[in-house]
Amino acid sequence: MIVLVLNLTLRQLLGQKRTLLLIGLGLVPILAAVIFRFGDSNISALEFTAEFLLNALIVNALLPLTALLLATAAIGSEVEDGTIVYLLSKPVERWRIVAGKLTAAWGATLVIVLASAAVGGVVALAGENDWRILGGFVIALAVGSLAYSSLFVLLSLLTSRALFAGLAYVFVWEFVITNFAPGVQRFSIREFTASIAEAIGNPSDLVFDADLGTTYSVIAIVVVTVATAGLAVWRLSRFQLQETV
Amino acid sequence: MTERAAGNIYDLGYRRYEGRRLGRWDAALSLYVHGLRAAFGLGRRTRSKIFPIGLALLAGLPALAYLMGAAFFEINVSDVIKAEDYFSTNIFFPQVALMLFVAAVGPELLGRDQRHSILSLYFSRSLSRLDYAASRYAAMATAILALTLIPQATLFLGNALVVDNFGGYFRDEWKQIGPIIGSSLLISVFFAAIGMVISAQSARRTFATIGVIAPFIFLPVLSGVLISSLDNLAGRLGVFLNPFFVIDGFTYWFFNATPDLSEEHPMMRAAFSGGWYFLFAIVITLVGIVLLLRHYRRKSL
Amino acid sequence: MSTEERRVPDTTVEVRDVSRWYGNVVAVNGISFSIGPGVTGLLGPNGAGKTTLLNMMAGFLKPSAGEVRTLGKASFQTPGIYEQVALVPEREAVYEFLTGYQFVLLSAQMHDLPDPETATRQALQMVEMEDAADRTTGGYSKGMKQRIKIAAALVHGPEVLLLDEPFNGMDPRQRLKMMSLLSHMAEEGRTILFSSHILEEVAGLSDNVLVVVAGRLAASGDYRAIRKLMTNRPHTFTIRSSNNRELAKTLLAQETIFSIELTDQKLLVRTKNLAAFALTAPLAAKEAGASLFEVRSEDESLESVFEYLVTS
Repeated sequence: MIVLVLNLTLRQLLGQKRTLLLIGLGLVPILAAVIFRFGDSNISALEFTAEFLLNALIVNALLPLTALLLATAAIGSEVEDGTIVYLLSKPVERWRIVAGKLTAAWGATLVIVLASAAVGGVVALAGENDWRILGGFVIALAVGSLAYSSLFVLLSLLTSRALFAGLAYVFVWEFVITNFAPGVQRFSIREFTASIAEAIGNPSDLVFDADLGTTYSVIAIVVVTVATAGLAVWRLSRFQLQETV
Repeated sequence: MTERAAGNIYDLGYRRYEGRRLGRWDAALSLYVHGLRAAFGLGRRTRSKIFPIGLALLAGLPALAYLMGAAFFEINVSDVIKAEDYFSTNIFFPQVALMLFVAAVGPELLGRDQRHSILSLYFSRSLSRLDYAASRYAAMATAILALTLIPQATLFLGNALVVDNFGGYFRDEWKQIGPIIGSSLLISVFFAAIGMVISAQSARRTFATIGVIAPFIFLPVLSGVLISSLDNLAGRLGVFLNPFFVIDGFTYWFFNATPDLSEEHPMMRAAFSGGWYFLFAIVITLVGIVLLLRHYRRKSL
Repeated sequence: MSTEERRVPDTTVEVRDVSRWYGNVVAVNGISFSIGPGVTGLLGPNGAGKTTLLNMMAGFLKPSAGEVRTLGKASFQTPGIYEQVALVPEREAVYEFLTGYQFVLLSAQMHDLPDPETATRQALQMVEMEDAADRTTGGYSKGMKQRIKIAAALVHGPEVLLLDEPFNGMDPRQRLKMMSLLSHMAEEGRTILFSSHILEEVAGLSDNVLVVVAGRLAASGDYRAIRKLMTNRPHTFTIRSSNNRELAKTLLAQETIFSIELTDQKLLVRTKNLAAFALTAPLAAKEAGASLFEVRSEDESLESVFEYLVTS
């Protein structure tokens, strides 16, 4: 059952226009790496990869935007169009439907984000000896994209304005408010992801310094993922068709 | 059965509209007014108001905070927030609010009409395709103008009132009014042009919104990489990729102010005089408008 | 499945004191009925609450008050009922990127049928969509989408089939075919409930109808029986005239009038014969020397539906 929903959702996600936009977004970090490579920068390749490429471009920008776009497309558009009825009118436990949807959204996000990080990283780091930072970010991105996808799937089930709610979370909460109230970092998937990347890929704080403790981040990201996915199942099992009279 | 008439047409009292028909300009004007209201979710349900109004508040937060400070705590913070800094990368979040506003409102103004196939209804009236696009664009630009001008005006008047010498302040500072209006106008038409061109490309809100946001997020980083990596003209030109720096550039130029930036700042490294940013913004705006009009002229319904 | 094997209870769907409101708008107002095997038509004008009722029966809406039970189980939040219940929604949306075959197959697979391919082919055959089965549903006409949705709902042979405006967009020939398919399924002992705002559809397919008006159940049962009830039912009118008292006296002499109540401002007249009353009232007024200011039917909304039923 999960596989059926997964396959269906992947086909939904892969409309041509959507894929084009995503590929376009994924190419930006690679382009940045190429520019860096052929330029004559005064920052080291390691620092560029960690700070600009992987943290600023991929974790802060590509990851949340891709996850938001795909999660709302995976489930929000079905709710909006009313096609979700065809999935719900089946004797299938609701967690399986959420699992299929979430896996599809996560998987597609992962492909875009990892491909972009890997290609960009290889271009930027070619000739360097220390590749740990890329490895750290790859693992962190896998975990972080699951947490983002899970949160955005939940939002898509909670409100028809999931896109705006997601944008508000990413930009207003994780970006603006975090800037003024650093304590908010403790509740930011972006910061969890960065900390995990640092813990795995950069043990001696050489180039990249995240703000949160590793243990806390790991526990927090697991809690966020499990809680949002669980709430999504709860919400879907109480799903009501919105109709106007 | 008795014989019936083969057919009958009954006069049910339908009446033709015999009044004055207002024509093209009034149609365009009402579309503009409707768009401006829709931008803030007016006339829609509460849910549609939350995001635009929230962002307007976020953009106005520095002015609000300043006024509150002055009113309740008698903090004289006049000139703490300079007019030229308001929508600059220094106080970055009003810029972020503007960007999110464009990304939220643009698709709302253009996408709805496409999703619900209303365009053919509009175009079958006296309204031309270009009128439609122009009205929508004007509504977007005006909405942004409200977000930029109102906080600035509040700040200006607030400063004047705080110093207890209204006339004096006004005499000293009236020269600010021109640059405030000028820079706000240019920010509005510039952002509206970028936002509307991208919004027009997709009827789906998700796409259009992410499509508008993406360049604002990715281009600044790309621009930073370009400037720091290339030490030639191409690298210097990279500064124009960052729409926020473009705004900074022409705003400081309007105010004839020199920003307090370190040597390492991309704008210092790029070392273009403010006029270039102004020119660039004008060109981008015009190109954007032309592309938008062209899109609607060629669009098949 | 053969008919003998199936043991079907008399009541398959039960709706008890059900109301559903959205904010301040009441869509369904205190409705009770139960239906069993056979075809039942849910008739009512647009906006009467038919879709809300069907969605509640299909478990996609929680009643604000009351209880909806389908095959003995509460409908809402019980995915298990879909083993035997299917809904054909009113909305046209389908997965436009799937072919008709894939769309029905997906349904079969999600029902975990032992042989989904065969079931799919049978369902496609039932709605006569074999020829278009390999085209994507995005290119289908309204009637084709309607039929592919029905095929997807039929694929697991549900005991209870709920259809929301199923004949929308079908041409007359398909409509007849679909009607005979539904009749056939009903003969097998299945419960078919379909909504419509078009009387001919309901009359052509089922004797048993539920009439919903403005969220309330206006009539239920055998269509002909309702019709009979109708003609015997007195109609109530209020009349205002320049001389109520004199008019009442004259009207009472008419044999079509049941009763008259005289209140301070107006007359409340009950008649069993609508047409005769329409003729005699003005004459009576003339006789009584009273000018009529207002003649108004009291039970308007109910009346209009019944009239709708009767004039067919």
